[in-house]
Amino acid sequence: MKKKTLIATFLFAVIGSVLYWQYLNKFETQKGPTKRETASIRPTLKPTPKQQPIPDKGFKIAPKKQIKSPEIISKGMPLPPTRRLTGAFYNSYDVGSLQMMNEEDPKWKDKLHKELKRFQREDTKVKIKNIESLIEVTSKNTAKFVEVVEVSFFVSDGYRSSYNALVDSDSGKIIKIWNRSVPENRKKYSLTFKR
Amino acid sequence: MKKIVRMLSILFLLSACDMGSNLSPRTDVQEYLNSGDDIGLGQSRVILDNPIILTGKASLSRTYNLSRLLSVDPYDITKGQFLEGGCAILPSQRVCIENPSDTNCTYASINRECFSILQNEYATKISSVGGRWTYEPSTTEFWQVNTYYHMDRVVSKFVNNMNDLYLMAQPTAPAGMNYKTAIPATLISGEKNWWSDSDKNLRVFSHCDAKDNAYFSPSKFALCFGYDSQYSNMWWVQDPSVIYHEVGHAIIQTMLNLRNVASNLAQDNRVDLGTLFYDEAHAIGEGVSDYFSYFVNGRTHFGEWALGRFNSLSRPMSEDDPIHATGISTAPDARLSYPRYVNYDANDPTSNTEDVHAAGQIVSHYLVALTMDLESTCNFSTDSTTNHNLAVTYVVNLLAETFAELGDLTAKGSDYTAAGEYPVNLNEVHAREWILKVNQITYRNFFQKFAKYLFLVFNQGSRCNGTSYPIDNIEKLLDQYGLLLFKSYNENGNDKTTGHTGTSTPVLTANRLHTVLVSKDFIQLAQGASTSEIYIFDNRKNMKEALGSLIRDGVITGISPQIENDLPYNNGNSQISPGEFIGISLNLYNSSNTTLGGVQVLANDWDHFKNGMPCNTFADQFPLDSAGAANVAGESVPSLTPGDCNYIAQNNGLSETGDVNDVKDPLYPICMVQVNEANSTRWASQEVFREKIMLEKMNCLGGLNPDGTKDTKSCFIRAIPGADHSFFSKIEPLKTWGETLATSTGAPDFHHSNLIFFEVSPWIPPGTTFNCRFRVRFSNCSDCYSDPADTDDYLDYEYSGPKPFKILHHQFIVID
Repeated sequence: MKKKTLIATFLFAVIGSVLYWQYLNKFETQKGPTKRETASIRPTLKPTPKQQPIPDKGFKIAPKKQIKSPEIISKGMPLPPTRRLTGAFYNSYDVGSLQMMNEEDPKWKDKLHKELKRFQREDTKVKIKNIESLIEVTSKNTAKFVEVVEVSFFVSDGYRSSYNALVDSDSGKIIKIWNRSVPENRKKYSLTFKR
Repeated sequence: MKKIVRMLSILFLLSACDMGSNLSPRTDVQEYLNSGDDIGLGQSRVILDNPIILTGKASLSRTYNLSRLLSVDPYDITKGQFLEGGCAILPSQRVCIENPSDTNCTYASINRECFSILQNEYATKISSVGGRWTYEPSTTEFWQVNTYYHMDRVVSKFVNNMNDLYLMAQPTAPAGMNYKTAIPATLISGEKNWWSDSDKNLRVFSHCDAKDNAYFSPSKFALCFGYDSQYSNMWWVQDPSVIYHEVGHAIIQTMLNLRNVASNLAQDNRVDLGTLFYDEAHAIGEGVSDYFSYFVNGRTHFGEWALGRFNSLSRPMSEDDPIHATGISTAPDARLSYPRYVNYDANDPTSNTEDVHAAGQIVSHYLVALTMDLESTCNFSTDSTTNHNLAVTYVVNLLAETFAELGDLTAKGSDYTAAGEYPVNLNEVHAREWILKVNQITYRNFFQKFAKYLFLVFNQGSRCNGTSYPIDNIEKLLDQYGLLLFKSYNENGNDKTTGHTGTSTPVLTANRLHTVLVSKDFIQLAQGASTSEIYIFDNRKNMKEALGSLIRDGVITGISPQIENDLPYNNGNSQISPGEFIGISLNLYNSSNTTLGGVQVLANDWDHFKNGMPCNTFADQFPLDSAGAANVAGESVPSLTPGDCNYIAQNNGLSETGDVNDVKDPLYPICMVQVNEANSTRWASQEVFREKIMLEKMNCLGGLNPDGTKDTKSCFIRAIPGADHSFFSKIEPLKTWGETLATSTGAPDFHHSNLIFFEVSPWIPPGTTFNCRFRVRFSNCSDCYSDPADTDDYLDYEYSGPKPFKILHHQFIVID
């Protein structure tokens, strides 16, 4: 009897300790290597002259999600009024297995604007006009939310250009461009090679 | 001297043109007011041509009172409330404004508007005054009315042309007269004869805020006519030939996308003619647009007032224009020929710069010469009722067929192509890339297609005054212009299965007297102790400017976030360092005795690897087997096994079975890396190098694959899509391109179209060696488009591989 009491007490103490550590002092998960740690695996590189910013979400791999509303992409079903289908496989995709490769981000236009301004002078204006929202069927079983926009540039010297672009509704990245403007006098940027 | 020449040319042209009595030089100086009882409802007096033509004065003062040029008689404008023009053809599409039940009235449909005139994009539409458009020429309103008159001339003529084309091209045409047309069957019934995306209305801004410029904007579907910055009262709309030229760009866009629109493809499935600052597609567009001025007014000169008077930029369209340099004439040996005159500017024959307008003159001159030859050979004349010149009608129809087929994103080329067959542009998945880059529109394939339709329409059947137009006429005239660049008419197309069956009528070699085709063996990288194989541009300011321009003009969609905004790693030392954004121009040398024209360098991904290792089955046999080349033991030549070095990917690197995960023959970037092993070095893909130095995928340059995964193949050196090809107008014999285009300083001016732009990863260990395999071809090449001994063109998929190109290597070390 005494022996059983001791064993029970011992077990109670062990279990209690485990519970105490697990719930009151949380185990820290092991972190992956930081960017600096990753940088350290380049043995022959000298330290970079300035801090490298951590890349933003632009290259985040889009999560694969099953479409919640299968009727959006079923053949023969009426298309939703908000998005038509486009892409090379718009009429030959596998019904029922189409996976959306991105999500709709309400800030896609801001991301696009920022990217377009990235290498422009401060006084260059960029205007983005929404034309249409589509679903681009990129293969027999993948698709993404995209936007058709018109992009216009207004340079301070009077030069103008415009085109239509297909934009990823998540990242704001341009996928393709068409309908480029045709000016009579094209802006020339001559380069001279100097050793 | 130039003024005398210009005066003589004006007088010559005035004596040659036939535009009706109202266009003769005015002998009276009485000013006409745009008012009076003789102006009926919906009418106005107009100014029928540009001031130089109407006065006969080449040096007309900019202060000349243009109201003196008002027509004697009033002309019909519109009885509608606003300046909105229609383009309805079928009676069912016409709704008479005055009497809706009358379908035969001369006024176009109000529910099929094709264009409208405004002062600028912010202005409201103007209305008639008591039903008449009686504004004085000193007002912007008058010029809007005048613009409407000229717009209606060109749009109506084109739309009627399209109706004639439709009737000519349908299978119901008499046996022996019909042919496999590219014109969609729904052209008229589906109202596809005018740009028919969401906004069918071409908005024309007569007084746009565009300094020294005019634009056609397909995205806005608008024309914008600007002003001369030196002379504030000179607006481009004052010159109707400029209106016709600009509408020409809109017409070209319509023709190029005829099949895409008719196929009801979503509106992101449209193509443009050309992408770079200078390429032959753009030049063709300029030349054809010049021709549209001739299409309307029959005059072989363009832009005398808006371009010529104050800027010396007007352009001739015939060799007998006095503005031309000595030695150029309509004699067979003296035509404005390609590629010799591709950089020629009639206003300044000593200049030698790459400009699409200069290069386009070869096109306009040929089209005018063809028109005249059709008139005389086929006895075509001008219809006195419609004032319709049949030869011009047919030439525009041929242009429509040519553009419609070349721009077809469905890759079918015709409504009558068999199911599963793709005679043009590889297939619907890759058509855009083929049209814009891989098999882009150049003088070679444009004139091959044009000649095909000329052959089908006129050589067959009896359209040429009851007989056929001789094939010798077709070939000899092209040859005189150096445009007989093809060995066959390639009627059978380039489909992978049927491209070598059926008809491919060969060109008679006896007719090729002036056009010289040269083997691609003669193009090389310049060699020599003091010569660079390539020019590297990495100056920070220049590259920032280049990036801004490439994005503004829609050449590229963007660059990797691995390249920092301010290009801080660009050090301008003309070498390649980690983190840089650079432009590379190959120093190309022509070792032949013939000028090479339309030289293209491609740096896009292509089929030159097997199982991740570089193939050495090409002419230069690089790299050695011991240096990492793919194992080709047991491969047949050619191979039927996807993935083999001797097999060319038939779907440009995508799956050939339809299963997206079943890719056996992927494409690889042009640049490979030297990998150091324990006892040797070998050449390998960038992916292999990435794994070796254990760089995480997220740090790669490449964007996303179609399936959303990260592209690691171009992890370290990446040619930016869109700017991954370059173009050079010509290279003279035994010279480099730089020597051909040398300026007074001895060096050429490079433009962005002469460079290929690369991102260089900041993660590259300094000292890493790369080898890049560029592919090069040119328009007057004898073995870039078919085998040397063959006349039938290569199949489209073969442009994913090595055969059509000269492969030029360049090795470099990335320095710190």
